[in-house]
Amino acid sequence: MFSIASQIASMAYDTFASPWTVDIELQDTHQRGHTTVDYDGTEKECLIFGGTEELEGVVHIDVKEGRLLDHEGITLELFGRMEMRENPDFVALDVSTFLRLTKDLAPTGQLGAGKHELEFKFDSLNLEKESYYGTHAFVRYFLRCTVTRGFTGTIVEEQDVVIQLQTSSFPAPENNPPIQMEVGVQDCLHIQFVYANSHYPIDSILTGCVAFRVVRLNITSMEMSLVRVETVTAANPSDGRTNFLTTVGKMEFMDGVPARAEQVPIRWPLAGIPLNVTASHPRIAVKHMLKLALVDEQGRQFFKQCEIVFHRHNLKAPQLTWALSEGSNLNWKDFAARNQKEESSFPGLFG
Amino acid sequence: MNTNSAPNDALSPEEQQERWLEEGKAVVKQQAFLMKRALDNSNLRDGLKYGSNMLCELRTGLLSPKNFYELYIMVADEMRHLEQYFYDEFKRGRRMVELYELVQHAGNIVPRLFLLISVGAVYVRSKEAPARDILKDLVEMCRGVQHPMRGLFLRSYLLQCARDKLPDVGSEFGEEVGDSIDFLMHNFAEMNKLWVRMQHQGPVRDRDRREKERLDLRILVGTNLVRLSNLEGVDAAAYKTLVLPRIIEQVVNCKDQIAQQYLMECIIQVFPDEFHLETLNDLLDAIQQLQAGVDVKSILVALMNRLAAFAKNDPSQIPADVDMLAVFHSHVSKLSESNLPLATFLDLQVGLLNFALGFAPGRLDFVDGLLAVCGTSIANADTSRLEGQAEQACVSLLTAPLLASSSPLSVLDLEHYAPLISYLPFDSRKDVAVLMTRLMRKTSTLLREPAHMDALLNFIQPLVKDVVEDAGHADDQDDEDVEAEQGAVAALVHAVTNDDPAVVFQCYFVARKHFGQGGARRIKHTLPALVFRSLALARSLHAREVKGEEAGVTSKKVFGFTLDTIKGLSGTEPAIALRLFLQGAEAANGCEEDKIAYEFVSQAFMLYEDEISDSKVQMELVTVLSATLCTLGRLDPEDYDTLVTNTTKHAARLLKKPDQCKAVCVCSHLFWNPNVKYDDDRSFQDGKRVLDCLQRALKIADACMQSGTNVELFIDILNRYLYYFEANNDKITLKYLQGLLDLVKEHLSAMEPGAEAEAVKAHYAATVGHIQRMKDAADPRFQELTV
Repeated sequence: MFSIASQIASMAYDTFASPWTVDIELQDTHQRGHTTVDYDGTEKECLIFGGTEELEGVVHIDVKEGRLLDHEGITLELFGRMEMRENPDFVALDVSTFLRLTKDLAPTGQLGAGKHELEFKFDSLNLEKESYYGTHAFVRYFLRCTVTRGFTGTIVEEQDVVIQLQTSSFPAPENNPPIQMEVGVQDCLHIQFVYANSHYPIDSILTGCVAFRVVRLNITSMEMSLVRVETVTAANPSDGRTNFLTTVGKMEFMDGVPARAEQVPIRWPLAGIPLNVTASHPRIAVKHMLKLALVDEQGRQFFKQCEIVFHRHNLKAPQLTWALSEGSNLNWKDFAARNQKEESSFPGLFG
Repeated sequence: MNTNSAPNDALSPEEQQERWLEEGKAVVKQQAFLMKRALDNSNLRDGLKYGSNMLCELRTGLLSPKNFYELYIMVADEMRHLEQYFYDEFKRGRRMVELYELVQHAGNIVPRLFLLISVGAVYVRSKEAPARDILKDLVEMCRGVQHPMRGLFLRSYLLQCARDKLPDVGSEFGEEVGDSIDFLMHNFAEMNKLWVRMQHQGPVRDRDRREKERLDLRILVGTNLVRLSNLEGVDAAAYKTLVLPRIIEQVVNCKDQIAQQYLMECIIQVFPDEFHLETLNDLLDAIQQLQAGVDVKSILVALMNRLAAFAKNDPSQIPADVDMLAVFHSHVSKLSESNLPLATFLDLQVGLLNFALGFAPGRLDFVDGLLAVCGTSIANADTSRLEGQAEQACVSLLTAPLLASSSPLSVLDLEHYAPLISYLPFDSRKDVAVLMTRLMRKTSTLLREPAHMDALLNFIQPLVKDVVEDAGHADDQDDEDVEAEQGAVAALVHAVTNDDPAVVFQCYFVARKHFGQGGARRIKHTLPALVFRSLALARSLHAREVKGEEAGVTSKKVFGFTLDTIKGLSGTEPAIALRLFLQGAEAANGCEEDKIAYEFVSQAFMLYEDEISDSKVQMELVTVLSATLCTLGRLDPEDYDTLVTNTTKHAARLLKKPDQCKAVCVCSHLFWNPNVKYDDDRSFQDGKRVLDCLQRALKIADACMQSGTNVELFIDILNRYLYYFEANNDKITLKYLQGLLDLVKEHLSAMEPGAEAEAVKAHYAATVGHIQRMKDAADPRFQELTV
C-alpha cells in the first residue's frame, strides 16, 4: 500500500516538476547593463538594449534523462506591447500589440534527452518606443519562445527586455528656456522661482532658485517633489482619460522661515530617482511634474507645480541613492558652468 | 527611550531641556557608533546613512542655543571620522566630485549640507577643483537653511571646516586673498542676517529670553571677523579698501542694536590697532550711523583705550599726519551735544582722557581742559555727591592722570583737577586719596613747596581729617588699617626737601596745621614723623648757626615748634609724647641748648606725673628717663640734680617691688655721671648717693618674697656693686661685695631646680667668672675677695 502510494507520488512529482526546461539567453548578458522593473506587481530583472541594437541569443531546452519532447514546431517572437488599465479597479490589462516579429527555430519533431541550443537573432530593428513600466500602463518588449505541442500542452517562455532610446530631440539651449514663475497668496506669500531649464536629461542635476518676495506666513520648510503623471486614454476615446500620479522623488530645500528678499538655491541630482523619459503614445502618456511646496507652521501646504520634460542621454540603469559606485561623469567644470549659466540667465534673480 | 520621550508636564523648562538634550545625545552616540562601524567595513552607503541619521538630530528646534551648541559639538566631533574616511577615499583614487554629488542625495537639507561641507573640505584638500569655487558653492548652498539657530551653526561648521583651507598669501589653496575675503564676507553677511532675524521671530513676551539667546550666539558671528583678521593677505590697505567698508555696510544696514553693539566692539577687538589708525575716520563715521539704542559710548571708549594702549607701547607707530586727539575730541564733543546722561558723558570723557594720556602723555593742558568740561557738567548736574556709574567715571577721571603721570604733583597742579574730588562721596574720595599717597611714595616725589603740601593735604582730606559731611564714615576702621594709611600720610613729611630750611620749616608748619585736625587716631601716627623731621631740621640749623650761616629760621624756633607739636600729642598719647619730649631733650642737648633741653625733660616729668598711671609703662618710662638723663651732659648740675632726684623718687615709688629694685639700681648711675660737669670741671659723681641707691635696692630685694626673682635681683645688684667697685667709687668696699657673694651663694643652694634656676646660676657663674678673671689679672683690689 505504502509503496504504491509513494510510487504515485514520485510519478506525480516527475510530472509536475516538468521534465524539460526552456530558457532564453541573450548575448552579452554579463557585460550588458540591466535593471529591475516592476511589472504590475512582479519584479523582473531585465537587460537594457538600445533601439537599433540586435537582439541575439540562444534558447536552451533541457530535456531530462529518459524523456522525449515531441513538438509541432518551436518559434521565438519579439513582442512590443502597450498594456494598460483605464480603470484601476479592472484586473485585466488592455493589450495593444505594436510589434510582433517571429523566428521559427525548429520544425515539427522530437527532442531527445539532453541539452539543446537553438540560436536566434533579430537584426535591423528600429524600435521607436522606449520601455515603460508604470502603475497601470506598460510599454513592454519581450521575447516569447513557444514550443507547440497540441493537446498535451504548449510550452511558453517569456523574457522581458528593456529598450532605452537615446534622445534625438533634446532641444538646443535656445529652445530649452528656464522655467520662471511668480506665484503667491495675496499679501501672505509671494515667491518667484526659476528652474534653469524646462528639458533635462534624466540623470542630470536640476538647478534653480526660489526668491521670496513677501513672507507673512511662518514657513517651516520648503520641499520639492517629482510626480510622475501617467495618462491612460480609454479604448473608446469618448470615455475620457485617467491620470495615475506617483511621487517618485522628494527633497527638502529649505529649513526655517526665510526673510523677505531671501533666495534659496535648488540643486537636485536626479540620478537615482526612478524617472522615465517623457513620452506620448496613442493611449499611454508619461510626463513629470515638479512640485514646489511650502509648509507652514500649521502644516498647511502651498504648492505650485509645472512640467519638466525628461530626455535620455545615456543608456543606463537608474542607480540607487547612496550607492552611486561610478558616480556621475560630471566634473567640477560642469558645476561651475551651470552656476554661471544660472547667473547669466537670470539677472533678475541673481543680479 | 519610550518613557523618556513621552511628554511630561511636570518637568520644569530646564529639566525638559536637559531631557531633550540627553535624548539627542543618546541618538547621536548610537548613530555615530553605527556610522563608524560601517566605515570600518568600508561600507560608504551605510556610513552615509547613519551619518545622516546622526545629523538629523541637529534638525531639532527644541533646544536652547546653549544645549544645541553642546549637541553640535558632539556631532561635529563625530563628523571628523566621516571626513577622514572621505579623505581616505580620495587617497584610494575616488574622484571627489563624485562624493560631492553623492552626498547631495540626502533628502533633508540640514544633514545634506553638513555632509556637503565635510566632503567639500576634503574636496578642497584634494585640489581637484579650485578652493575658491568649492567655497563659493558651499557658502551659496548654505542659504537653504533659513532657520536662525540652525543656519548659524551650519555656517559656523563651514567656517570651522574651511579654517585652514582659505586662499591666502602663502597658502597652498590659492594665493588670491580676495577670494577668502569674498567667502568670509558672504558668510558673515548671511550669518548676521540670521542672527538679527532671531530678534523678530516668536512672541513678544519672549523678548528677553531671545535677547539672551542671541548673546549666547554672538561669538559664532564674530568668528567670521576673526578669520578675516587672521588672513595674512589682509594688510592695512586691503583692510581699508576691501574689508572694513563691507563690514561697516553690513553693520550699519542691519539696523539692529545688539548686532551693531557687538560687531563694532568685535571690529575694534579683532583687528590690529595699526589698521584702526589707518581707518579711524571711517570707523568713527560708522559709529555716528548706529541705531539710537546702541551704547556708542562704550564702543568709543573701547577704541580709545585700545589705541591709547597701543600708542603707549609703541609711540613710533603713530602716524604723524593725523591729530588723533583732535579727531576724537571732535567726535566726542559731537556726541556730547546730544543730551547724554551725566554718567555716560563722564564715561566718554574718561575714555578720551585715557586716550589722551596714552597718545600724548605730555599734553596735560588737554587733560586740564577735559577736567574743566567735566567739572562744569557735574556742577550743572545738581547733585552734591555723585554715585553709581558717574561716581566710577569721576574716580577714573581723577586716577587716570595720576597713574599715567610720573609726577603726581604736576597733576595736582592742574587747575581743574583737585576740585573734582569734592563731588565724590567719602569712600571713593578716600580711595583716590590713598592712591595719591601711594603714588607719592612710589614715584619718590619730593615736596618742595608749602603750597604743594597744602594742596596735597587738602586733596587727601579723607586721610587727614574728618569733616562734618563725612560723619559716620571713619569710625569703622580697625587700628591696623589706620596705621597703614596714616603711615603713608606721615611719609609725606619725609618727602619734604628744600635747600632753604625756612621753606622746609614752612612745609612742616603747614603739615602740622592739617595734621592737628586729624584727631587722636591719626596724630598718633602723623605727628611723631613731624617731630623727628623737625628735630633733624633743628640739628642742621644748629650746624649752620655754629658755622655762622644765616637761615630764615632759627633752631630755637624749630625747637619751640617741636615742643608745641609734641604737646599736641600729650593729651591723647602721653607715653609717646613723653618719649618724644626726651628725644627733643636729647636733640637740644646736642645743640647745646641746655635750657630747651631742660624744658623738654621737665615737660616729660610733668607728663609722667600727670598722665602715666600704668605701672608697667611707668617702669619702662623711668628706665628711659634715666637713660636719657645720663646723656644730657649740657645740663646745669643744679638742674640735673633736681631731675635725677625726682627720677629716683619716681623709681622708688613704682608699684612692684622688683621694678622698684631694678629702677633704683638704674637710677644709681644718675649719681655717677661723668658727662655732667660743674663749673670747676668736677664730674657729677657722688659715691655716697650711689651707695644709698644700692643699699636701698638691696633692702627692696630682700623684701621681695619670690625667691627666684630675689636671687636674680641680688645678682643684679652684685653686678652694680662690682661696676662701681671697679669704677673706683670709694664708698663701695670689698666687704659689701663679699657679703653679697655669700648671700647669693646661700640663696642659690636653696633654689629649686628648673629653667629659672639654670638662668640664674648661669648669670651667677658669669659674674663669678668675671671676678676670677680680675683676680687672675692680678688686680690688687680683688685679691682679698673669696669666691
